[in-house]
Amino acid sequence: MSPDSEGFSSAGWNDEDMRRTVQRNYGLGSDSSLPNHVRFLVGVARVIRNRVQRADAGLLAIPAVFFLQPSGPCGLETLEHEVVPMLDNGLTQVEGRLIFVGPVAARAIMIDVENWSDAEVFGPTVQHLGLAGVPAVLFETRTDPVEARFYTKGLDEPDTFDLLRLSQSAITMDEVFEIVDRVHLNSLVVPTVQSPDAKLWQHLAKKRVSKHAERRIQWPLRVGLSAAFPMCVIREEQSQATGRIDLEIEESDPVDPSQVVRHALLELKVIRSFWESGEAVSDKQNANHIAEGVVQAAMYRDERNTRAAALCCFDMRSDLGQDCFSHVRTKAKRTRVVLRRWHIFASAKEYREALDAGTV
Amino acid sequence: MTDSSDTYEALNTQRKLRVVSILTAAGKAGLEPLGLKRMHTIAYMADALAPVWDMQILDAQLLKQAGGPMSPTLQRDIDRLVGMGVVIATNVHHTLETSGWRLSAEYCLNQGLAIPILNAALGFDEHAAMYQFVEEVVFAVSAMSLEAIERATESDAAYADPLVDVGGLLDLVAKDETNKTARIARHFGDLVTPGIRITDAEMTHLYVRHLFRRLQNVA
Repeated sequence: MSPDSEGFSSAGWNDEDMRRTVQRNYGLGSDSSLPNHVRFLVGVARVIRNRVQRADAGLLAIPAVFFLQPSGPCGLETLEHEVVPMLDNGLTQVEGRLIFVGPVAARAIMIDVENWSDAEVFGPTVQHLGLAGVPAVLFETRTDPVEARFYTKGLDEPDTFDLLRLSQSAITMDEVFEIVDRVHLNSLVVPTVQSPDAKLWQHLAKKRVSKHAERRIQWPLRVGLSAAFPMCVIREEQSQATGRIDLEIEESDPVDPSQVVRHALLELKVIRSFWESGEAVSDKQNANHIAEGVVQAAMYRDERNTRAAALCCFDMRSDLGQDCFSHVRTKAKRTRVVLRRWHIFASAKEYREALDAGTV
Repeated sequence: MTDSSDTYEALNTQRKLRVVSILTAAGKAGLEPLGLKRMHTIAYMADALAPVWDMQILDAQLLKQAGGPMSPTLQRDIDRLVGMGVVIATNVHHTLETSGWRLSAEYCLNQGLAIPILNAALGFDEHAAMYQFVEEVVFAVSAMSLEAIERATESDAAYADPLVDVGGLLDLVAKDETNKTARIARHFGDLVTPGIRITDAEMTHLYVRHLFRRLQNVA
């Protein structure tokens, strides 16, 4: 029901005005439920994108540092500072400042840094303000193009950082798979790295796979992709006529953020030897599951005009040697669906043996 | 114990958890200590937006006041938590309102007592869902200036509804209809690029940002 039709328009709740709000703020809140440090990255990336876009007089060639510490530094009451709402609209100068924000990076405490010096900021300033170990993003405006570095362990470990992806260029499937590889290794490959709240195995020794396995794999992938592509919205479970998409990577147009580019979609499939009940899963059942995934990925991509689609298969079967894509390769090639498989083991021992035998 | 007393206790627990949740999220967003008026405004916004998240409204009926929402039931919840030592009241002072003098304060959590309570509550799906919802409302509101937070209801679709006079009863579940605030928040979902289904959290943020724009336009 449109508010227009209810007479809300006269009170200023009209569609045209609301669309403008959507245009300026599209994607806000899409990171809800992600871990705080990932939301911080997404929030800071939004600030940087809008700052680069809207700094009318150009950016000052002085860096800025964002800290995930919304209450500000130690001794804030004795420091000259400013509290700023709606930091993410890009209108507030951040260059040459230390900026203290929460996970959504919308409200900020800002402190000016006079005569910026990297050595000073990374050393005495961090120590003096009690910021050792506080996750931080350095927005480097002295380079062309600008850069952003995420110091997960704080500025006091200056060599431990990840470069944030700020460019608006197309995301390739290789880039996506690089992230899936990392998530697989850190959060999926063996039971000991999996979340205790979201185990993939229902019974390890009997190789029974949880009926929630696909959904539980989806979560760490969403977190990993969100951290790796903070300028993008990682959507899950988007419904449409042909079904429900597992994961999709979209990015707002920098000029009109309500217009989106859909970079890639991932269809996730788990193949297994045993259901949660203990009943064996036949080769034919697994093959059908994979074949269905190829069709889904191609259809979803075409329906949504997404640039690329992949079928990500997580192989939890006991027999590692089996190829799982032989029956769909031709079709996948014809329909431009990229295929990739990751093994998930029931124990670290099995993983070691597979590494030793070169089967993974 | 009867069913009705069980229900009463459950609701009581939920009410207290809402206060703890608001203050926890306020701390994460840099809003602590939270002044009395901001506390009541945020709790109201959470109630008004609750249908977007399919959550229960805790204060469905309230008296519309010129200075913004002030729920006696919420104040009792806060006072009880202060009495229990879970919430700390600072800067206690009197303020002159249109209705007379009011005792006011700023609130923050006693982390030592509050964190174990919250952690225990988060083990239950129902409470975890409520926490996530309340946290998102606080995060969305935290983008506004402190002054704007206190004035938020001046432009809120339900609270500022001209059909309800000051002194009248504002019913967020009247005639089993979704209230206007929640309806407008949901309507943002119709205004995005076709094929995209935005989340409850996105509708919440868009609604609050729009509210802020309306307040700025009025100013």
